[in-house]
Amino acid sequence: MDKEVLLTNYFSNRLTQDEEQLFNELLESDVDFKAKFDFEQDLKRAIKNKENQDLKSRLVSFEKEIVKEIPKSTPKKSYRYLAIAASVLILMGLAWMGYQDGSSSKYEDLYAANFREYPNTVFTITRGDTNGSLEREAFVAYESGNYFLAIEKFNQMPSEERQPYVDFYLAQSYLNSGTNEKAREYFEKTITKADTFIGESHWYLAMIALKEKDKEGAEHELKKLTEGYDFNKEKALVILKELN
Amino acid sequence: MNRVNLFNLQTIKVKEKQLDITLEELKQGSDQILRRVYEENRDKFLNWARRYHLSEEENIDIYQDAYVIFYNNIMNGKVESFTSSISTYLFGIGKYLIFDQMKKNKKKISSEFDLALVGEEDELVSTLEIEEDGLTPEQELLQKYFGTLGKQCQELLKLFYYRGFTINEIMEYAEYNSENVVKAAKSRCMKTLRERIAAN
Repeated sequence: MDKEVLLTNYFSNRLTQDEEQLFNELLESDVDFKAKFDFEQDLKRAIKNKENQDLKSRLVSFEKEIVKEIPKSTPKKSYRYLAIAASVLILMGLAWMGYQDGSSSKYEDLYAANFREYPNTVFTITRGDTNGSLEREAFVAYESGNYFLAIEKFNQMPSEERQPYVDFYLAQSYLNSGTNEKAREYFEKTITKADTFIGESHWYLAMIALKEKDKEGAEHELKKLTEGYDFNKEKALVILKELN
Repeated sequence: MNRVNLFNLQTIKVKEKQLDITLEELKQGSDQILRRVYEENRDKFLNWARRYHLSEEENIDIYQDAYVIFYNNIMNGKVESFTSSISTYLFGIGKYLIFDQMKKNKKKISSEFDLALVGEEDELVSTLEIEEDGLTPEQELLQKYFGTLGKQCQELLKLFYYRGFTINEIMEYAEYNSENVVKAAKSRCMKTLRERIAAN
């Protein structure tokens, strides 16, 4: 039997009993076969580990978001009255501002309701990891909200080491540190050069446009998003409706 | 080679419960679905885990690891259909991880912690795969160069090695014209990978 078929069937969990016996014999007697098997088995393990790490870092960012949301709903008692008083003042202020400029507050509201910082979903920071690469330092800074440092580290990465997603996170870092122009530049670069985070980039370009009260710009990006991508598609449709 | 632990998970069959999240949706892996499952089971899991007196940080870490293992077993086809609620799977795996953590912390496991899950009728519903962490240097190298392959190669190899698809299933899933095309593409990807590692 073809050895290649044996290996294929092994990894698809399709070995028959006879094949399994032959497979085990070959592992003992055939050095080349054993080397081939080890290589593929290692690859399987490496891919699985990568998938697990990716998922784990997504869960870590869900957790961070959840923890951030919890304290808001349970203010300490002693501060409650103060908080209520402050809210009333803020509401009065907002109402006054709304009265002054109804349409501009619409953009602010849409922005505030929709803008969320994008979590690190690409680079796993393992505890006790001694790999002191620039990319790791950049993502550590990014995750802890130190965007200026993240920008510095991302920019120091040599171009051949830059995965396509780096531009997207660089854009995020600029956005979160208030440098919209630069953020826009790197989101646009992501759209033209990368093959991931494209829908996401359109979304954040729309967020920038909302922040700058640029209705046409926001509509343009949101339409691009809804026509070709799934990221926040439903939210984008709602905003498009609100804008008109 | 790393030790692979095959762990027989004893769990209870929960009364036929209408689940509103399907396996297929979970396999798609969107942030929205993954987060919903994460949030829906989080508090229940953490409340349950507190009885073992680990730190809150450890409990959260264990919850996430249990989730990852559960998801892994969905993706590799070991969980073919939900015979229990998602939380039952998570508790079952979580219990194993908690005991493991307690051993690491050298805490004595008192005999009052019975290994049976919450409930009465235990039924073996699944044989899940729980793998140990840590890669060998060879595996790390493979992981690094796997990441440099084109998107199509990564996807193909992922379907084959991670999800355990047959060549025929890959052909249908990824819309290749024939099995031979899949085989040829796979050989090319593996060749590129070997070459890049050799040039390392």
